[in-house]
Amino acid sequence: MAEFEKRAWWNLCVAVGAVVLFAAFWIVTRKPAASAGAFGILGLSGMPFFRLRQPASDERDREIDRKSMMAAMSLFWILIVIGAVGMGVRLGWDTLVQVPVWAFSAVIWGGWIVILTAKSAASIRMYRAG
Amino acid sequence: MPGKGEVVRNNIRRLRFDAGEMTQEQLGKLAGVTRHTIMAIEGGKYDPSLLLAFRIARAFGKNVEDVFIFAP
Repeated sequence: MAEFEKRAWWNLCVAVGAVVLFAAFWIVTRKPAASAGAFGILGLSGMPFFRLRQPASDERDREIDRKSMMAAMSLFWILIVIGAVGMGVRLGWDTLVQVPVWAFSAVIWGGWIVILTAKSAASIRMYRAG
Repeated sequence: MPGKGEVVRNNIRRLRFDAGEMTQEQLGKLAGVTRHTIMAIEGGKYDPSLLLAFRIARAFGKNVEDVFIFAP
């Protein structure tokens, strides 16, 4: 398995792990605000990049990285548009809403999770395809 | 990237054999890429850049057209 494929697997596990941990904490504690602390493990997604000796990358790794980032950003953009427009259509454009800070924060974490998951999954798929 | 119906074939497996069973790792080192990339090129799953194609050909002491064959 290529070094960068291993990184993709690692990041995918971190992203899925954060969601699972958040859900598990929420179910057990019934406190979503405190459970949002589970998103802290997303910091582990950067861990492979702090290694002193970085693995060598070649043109194929860079192409897969570029394509997977493009796929992730496209998905993120689609979700942003659906979310932004959907909210206005469903709730009404002039409606005032109140959300707890944890929910607002979770949406931001969620954005990062979407990008991380989509990029990792796309990378793994491309490495598997050849 | 090849168009519809266009394929770039290669003789890397045979050339490695002719070069005394040169390993993919060795070829990768000579061409400046990883073993995984050589594997993908050899299997026809990845089309190398022009520069990499020249490097691979040079590793075998051949011309590019002796290693890669464009089959429209």
